[in-house]
Amino acid sequence: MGDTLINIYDQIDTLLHTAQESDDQAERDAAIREATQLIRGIREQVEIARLPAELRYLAERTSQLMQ
Amino acid sequence: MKIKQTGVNTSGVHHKSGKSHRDAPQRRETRLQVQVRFNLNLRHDDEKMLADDVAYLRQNRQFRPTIIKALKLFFDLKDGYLDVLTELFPEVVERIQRNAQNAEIEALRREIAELKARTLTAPVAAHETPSVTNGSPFGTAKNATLKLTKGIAVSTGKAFANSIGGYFD
Repeated sequence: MGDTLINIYDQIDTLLHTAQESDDQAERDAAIREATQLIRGIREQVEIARLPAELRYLAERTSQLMQ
Repeated sequence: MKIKQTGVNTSGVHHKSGKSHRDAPQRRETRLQVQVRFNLNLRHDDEKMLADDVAYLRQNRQFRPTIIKALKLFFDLKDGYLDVLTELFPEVVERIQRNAQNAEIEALRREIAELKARTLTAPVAAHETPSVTNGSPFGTAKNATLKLTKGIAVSTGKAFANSIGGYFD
């Protein structure tokens, strides 16, 4: 369960490692920005998953309609 | 980081009042050189060290350029700018930026640890997520009206959900 999520966590770890070790300021900034977005995405999904089923349905359906 | 719109201004008179010299009215300078004298009190350890530094600088003919750089740096920082600091000590600016980024990275690592604890060690969804393709959990009432308001978190979250392939379904 959650293999995809684990892969994303691995990706975030890699990005944070790049952000800490890279000598390139632009690369560090980009890595932090990308990691922050991924973390925000996970957090939003966690919040959505905690909603009652009906609200989750609405959230997902609304997002589909807006795409 | 505060960046000036114009180049570094090192001309003008510095005032002890604390008001920026850049705000002072410009007087027409008739002299081409000004000599500045000051005393160092050798009874104070810090000023004694400065006196030693001054002696070293004079020995290497670096006293005047160093004092000018020091004053430029002081007033630039006092006005809230980092231009001169960046110009004179880029490695210091780099270190400050690194420290700020490291603090940000540590905060992200803590957040990740918290999310991992919530998503990998316990079930995320307490409820059965209804399948969108199998119809609404509200039944098939044809006159049902739903008022939906666009939410940033939902749209962003959905885009993210697509990228992780419906892990939470």
